[in-house]
Amino acid sequence: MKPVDFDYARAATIGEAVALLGASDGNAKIMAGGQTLGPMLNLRFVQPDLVLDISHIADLRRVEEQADGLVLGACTTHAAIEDGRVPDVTGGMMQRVASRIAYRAVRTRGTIGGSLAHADPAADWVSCLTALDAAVSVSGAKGARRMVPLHGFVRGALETALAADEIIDGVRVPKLSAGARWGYHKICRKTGEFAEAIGAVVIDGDRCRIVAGATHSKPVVIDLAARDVAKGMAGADIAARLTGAGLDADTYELKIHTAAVRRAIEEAVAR
Amino acid sequence: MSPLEGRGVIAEWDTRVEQLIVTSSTQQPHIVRSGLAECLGIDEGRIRVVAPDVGGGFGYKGVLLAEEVALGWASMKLGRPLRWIEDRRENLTAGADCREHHYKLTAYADKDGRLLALDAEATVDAGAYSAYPFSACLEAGQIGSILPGLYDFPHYRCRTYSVATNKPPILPYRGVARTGVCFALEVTLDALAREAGVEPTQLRAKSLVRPEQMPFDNVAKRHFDSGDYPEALRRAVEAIGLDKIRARQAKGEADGRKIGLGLAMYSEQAGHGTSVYAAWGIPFVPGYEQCHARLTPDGGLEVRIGAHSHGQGLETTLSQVAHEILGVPHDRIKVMHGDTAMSPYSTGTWGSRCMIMSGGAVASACEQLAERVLRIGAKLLQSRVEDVRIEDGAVVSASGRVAVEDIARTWYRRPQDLPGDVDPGGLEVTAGYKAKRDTGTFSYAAHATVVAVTLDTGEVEILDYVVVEDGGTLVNPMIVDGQIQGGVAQGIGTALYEEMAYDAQGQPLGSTLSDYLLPGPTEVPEVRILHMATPSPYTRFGQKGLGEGGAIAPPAAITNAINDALKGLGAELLVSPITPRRIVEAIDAAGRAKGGPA
Repeated sequence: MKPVDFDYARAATIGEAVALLGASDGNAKIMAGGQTLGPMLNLRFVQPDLVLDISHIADLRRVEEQADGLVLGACTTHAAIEDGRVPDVTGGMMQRVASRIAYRAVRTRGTIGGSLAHADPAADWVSCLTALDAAVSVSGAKGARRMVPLHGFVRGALETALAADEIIDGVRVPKLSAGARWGYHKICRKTGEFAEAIGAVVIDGDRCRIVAGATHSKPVVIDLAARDVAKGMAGADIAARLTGAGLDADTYELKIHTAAVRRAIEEAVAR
Repeated sequence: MSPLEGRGVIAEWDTRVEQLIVTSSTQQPHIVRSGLAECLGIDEGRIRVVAPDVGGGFGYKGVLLAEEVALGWASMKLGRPLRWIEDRRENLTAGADCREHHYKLTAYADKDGRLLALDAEATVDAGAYSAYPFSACLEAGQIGSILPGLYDFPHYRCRTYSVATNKPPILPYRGVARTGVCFALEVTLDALAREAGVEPTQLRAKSLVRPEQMPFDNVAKRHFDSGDYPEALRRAVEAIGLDKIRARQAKGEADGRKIGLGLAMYSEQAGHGTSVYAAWGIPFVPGYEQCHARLTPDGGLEVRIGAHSHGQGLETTLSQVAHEILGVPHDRIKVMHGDTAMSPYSTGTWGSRCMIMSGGAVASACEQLAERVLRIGAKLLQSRVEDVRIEDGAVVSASGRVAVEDIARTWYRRPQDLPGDVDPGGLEVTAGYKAKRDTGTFSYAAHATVVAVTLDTGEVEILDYVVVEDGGTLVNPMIVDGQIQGGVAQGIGTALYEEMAYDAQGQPLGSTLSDYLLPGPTEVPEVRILHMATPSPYTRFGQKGLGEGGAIAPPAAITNAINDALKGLGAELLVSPITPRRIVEAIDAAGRAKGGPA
């Protein structure tokens, strides 16, 4: 099976990319690293009229260090984060998560913005960046720009708050405090395979965010006071909270989501 | 059940030689040629089939493809070359489904755990079409004869059914029927041991055929050629450390996981020929195997075989056989295969037969060649032929030596120096072989493994894996180890990952390699391999076929290990692959049966 016929365009600037999107009648697909789009094209799961290549836009590889955070351009690769070629404000959490995304070949090409735009529930960045309370920087027509918190950006499986003529230009990650702790655990059938359950936990100051990812839809978020987590949580308690927070899961799925979250909490608390 | 490399076919009508040339990823080029001639209604001489490097085969490429016929016909009709390349999705959803067996099996033992009888009903899902040449009944046809395993017991009944369904056809995949049979028998034996309250290894030891009974005709009239099955079991138990594992289980794991030890044994009938296939009622019956051997004018040796080498290393092992007899250096021996235009006819590579059959044929051809070389050499040394021998690539007499190279030069370029009674057949020979008994060799093994199971998630980690294997005389131990390690990797796939699932509407659910999971390097442990070497009395060098064995026992051994880990919970898995979901659901079901919380 091969892709349908499509036009190809390579944008040089964010403005040009947005303009091409606007002119495309909504049937364009943006290609950054192409690690998901490539197979989807070949399987004809997507049949675009236009493939818009944004991988040569310099602004999408920017790195902005701020006093209280970090902005990474959307085309920052997983490998760049894994290798420490960009700064880190998360106490090593993003580096660890990046290092276990799929396989190295995928990480070399795959990008953080592409992963968020595709919004596969099993994608690591969807869960990790939600736990970190990161925000997506979105560019639209005529230079419009808006910040959308990740918690809310992903609306469901492969569903985001992006409009048809918008692209993700970057991700802003708030800086964790020195005493912050985190844990991340994913359950996969085999190394590098799509996750079946993800637990992501960030404890910073008196706040704690717990995320259950790789669900059937958007990640499930539980915000707690840090003291409620520090003393440890029983499996039954976690399961009840996940269900209460809207996790849609059968008996087996609830068990593995609970286990992933429990292991992430254990890792965070032990730090 | 899916070779990494898919299939491909190029068909072209060559107008100069008036021949249809079909290049195809097949492990049976001569069989494909026969099939094409039958389907296209043209003489076999008008067809040439070329099988280049085909990647993985495993039996999946031991079939006449509809695409080979269609492309052959269309390229003749259109007068132009045509190509077809199977993509991954076609490979997974329309290629073949292998290994699907269903069993109802009852084992009977006395109170000491000695096996008394087996009563079995086996059903094989053969899919929608019969495969040429092995038919829709190859697996079902074998089950009855191999189900009794390595055991000696008096009473046996087995009924088998090959059932047509609306799924892709079944193809004989590495292990052919044995993987399912081994799973059914060995998992049942462990259940029997749990019921009887005896150690599963002791239950097996009581009923294994003993070495002093060899050669042994079992309850299904299989003729076991040689071996020491109890010794293989003993070594496996020792290597895996049964007592240590039992002590560790009693103590429990710090991380809360449950560990379990599992063992499975099998024998692998290999190189089985005419009498066996004729008795199965399969329309395709193999006979003799041939080799064409030729000394070239520069003293090199060409060895042409009709079988196909796709990862078995026949280029190396058959070269070893030729070298053993003619003494020609390895770097001057060229093993050639995979083209009907330049090789003797063969039914191809299947049934772990090549080291026995092609190995025997290469030896026969080289021996005949050696006789002719000796006759010429004796003349050149002015000796009687009884007084010369071949040694280190030369014919030697008490007083001198002449290199095989010089003998070749004499035959091709200085025939005036040849003896008057020289064989006019020259320095090329086609010779054939069939084993002294064609009921096959029976290599065998004991696989033992230790796994750790995480109860709340159903995750399984293989902590240790031991194989004690007896392949008779080993021609090349490195290649044997490679076959075992690779086979175990595939067996782990069958045990834990690979499944051709369909939804209620019949949609295949495994259409990519992210749905159809294959084990990768991180899922496959380094197997500890121990060898025994009991020669077969029936083959040329005592060698036994063993190419498939590694893939036979892992599903049974791993399942037994998981069931051992879960035995305190009353949970039992009886299906492969054992997915995390199936483990968690089995534990929940056992909990409900006990009246506890799910």
